[in-house]
Amino acid sequence: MTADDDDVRLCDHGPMSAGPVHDAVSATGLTKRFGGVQAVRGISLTVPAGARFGLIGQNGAGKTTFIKMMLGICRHDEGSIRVLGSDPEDVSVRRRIGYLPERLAIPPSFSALAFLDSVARYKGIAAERRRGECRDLLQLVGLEESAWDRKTGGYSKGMRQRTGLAAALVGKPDLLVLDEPTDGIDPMGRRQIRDVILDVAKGGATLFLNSHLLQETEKVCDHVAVLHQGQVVVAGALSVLQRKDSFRVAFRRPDAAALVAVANEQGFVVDDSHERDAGHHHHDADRLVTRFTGTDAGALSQALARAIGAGLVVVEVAPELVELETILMRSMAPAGGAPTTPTTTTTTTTDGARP
Amino acid sequence: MIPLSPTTIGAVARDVLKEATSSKMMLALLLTIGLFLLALTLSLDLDVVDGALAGSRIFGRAAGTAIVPVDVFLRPAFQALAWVTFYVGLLFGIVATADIAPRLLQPGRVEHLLALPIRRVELVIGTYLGVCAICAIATVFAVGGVSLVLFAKAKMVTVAPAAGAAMAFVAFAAIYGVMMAVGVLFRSAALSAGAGLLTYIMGVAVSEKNVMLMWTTNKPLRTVLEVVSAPIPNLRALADVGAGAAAGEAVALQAVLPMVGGAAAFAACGVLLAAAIVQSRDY
Repeated sequence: MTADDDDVRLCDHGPMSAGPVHDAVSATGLTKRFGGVQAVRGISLTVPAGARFGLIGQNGAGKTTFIKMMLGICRHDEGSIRVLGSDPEDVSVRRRIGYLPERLAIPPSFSALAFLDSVARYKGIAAERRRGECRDLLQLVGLEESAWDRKTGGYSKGMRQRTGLAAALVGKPDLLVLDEPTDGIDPMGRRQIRDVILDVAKGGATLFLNSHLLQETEKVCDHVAVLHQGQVVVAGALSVLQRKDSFRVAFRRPDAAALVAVANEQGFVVDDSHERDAGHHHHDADRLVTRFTGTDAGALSQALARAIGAGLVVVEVAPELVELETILMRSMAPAGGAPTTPTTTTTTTTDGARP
Repeated sequence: MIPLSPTTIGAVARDVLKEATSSKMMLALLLTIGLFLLALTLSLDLDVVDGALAGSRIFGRAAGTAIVPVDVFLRPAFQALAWVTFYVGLLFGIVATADIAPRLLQPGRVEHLLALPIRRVELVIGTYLGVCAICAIATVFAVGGVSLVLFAKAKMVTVAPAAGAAMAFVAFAAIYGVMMAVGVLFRSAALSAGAGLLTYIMGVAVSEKNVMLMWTTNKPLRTVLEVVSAPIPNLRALADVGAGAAAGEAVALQAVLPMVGGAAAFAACGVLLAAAIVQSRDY
């Protein structure tokens, strides 16, 4: 396998894929200045094909500008960007992209069906397939059938958002770019939309999500990047970024009074952060939550065996994860700054790049 | 040279047309034309015998007593209709279409369009053609309606109203080129309409260029007047040609073609300028 082979991988999925595909998005040294404001300062970012990628950061961090450069809506000053292996302004590539802008303005005189039909027409979908596909998509996103032929000018924000999502899904895109897809949608609707997005991603499409809702990003995405002041400050697989070098272990023992002492003897440290985070005492009655530092499963097994031998009952063992909010806050903290939330640890991720 | 897709351009024009047919201004225009045609149908009473007008009444009053060929009798009416179509129709067209290009570029809309497989140039050309199609439909509706009424009342088939309307269409196509360039530059319907009205006024005034030049002996000012007015289509001349044709006068093609060609070139410059602006912009 050559170096080039690493760059161009065979992809056996993707609704419109045929043969080898590149990374879904590959940006190197992108910069963008608007007048006197440097909006983007040398972003280098790779989104693997088939990934569920989340872009997070504060308002004004450069997220929407990056998305616009990715789609050729806005031109970069320096650097280079490839989307699905081609220039973002390549029309044939845009046929394979579905995009939901943050505040989509649908022509108010268009019905949802007419709007989707228009998008399908631009994407070159044959007339005989258009109506069926548009109806299927409106059903998929949960827009009531009675509204399909009504003018979108009378729609609620949530209905417009669902219509926009359906429009982004027209033509089974290889890359789905969603800017705040659940904005204006109620909690039940959010879950429904999330399921739709995940189903699409399961079909092989690459998902690029920009959302202020970190929990949503956490639930949907497997890769994230944090933008701060126009730069990528953290990027990588979520599983790696969230991993701590420790396990959370909970014990129970009939004799609660000796619980802490016995656990400490066996190498388990009482988890104060859990105490503060959960807002209750670290051992309720006979239950004690502790932290085992290290990633060596063998050492953990031995320690657990010793604890069990000493009469403790193990009720929970789980790898400790850092919340996405913590990752975001920590990545934006000034260099050398203290952790910004009580639940953070000093653990650093292994391949979660911190440029 | 950017390869352009006629299918995409057609799809953009189709969407522009579809959206415009739902706009209140367009509905008002079509309703006005419809009411005019209805009033004409109900009020005009012509007694035609072998192509000659034996009697005529408008709103129940006799409009003439002499027996004349019907086409001769109607010439002044056709001429007046051509002028009204030209001057009033143009003004209405300018106001009714001013927001179309800026609306396409509104935030949330333009991002979505530019992420679709549409080249920016195709978006501009498609929008221009869509607006021209709106103008053509309104013109055909008015002219076709008048022709149908005349056919029903006088069994007379004539292309006279169409000749006048054709000139109005040419003038509108030229003016909308400027409106589009200004509309995409400032993304403002008001400025687009303002540019259209200014071109309209200058287009009428340019026929009196020699009179204006006589007002001043200041050489730089005269030069400025000459330069500024040179590319502006002479709307009054176009209107006169249309009205003359509507009245049955022979059309001198060698005089008309340069005027139409000039208006087309003026329109093309406006569209190209609009395309260059959209192409160079970040949205």
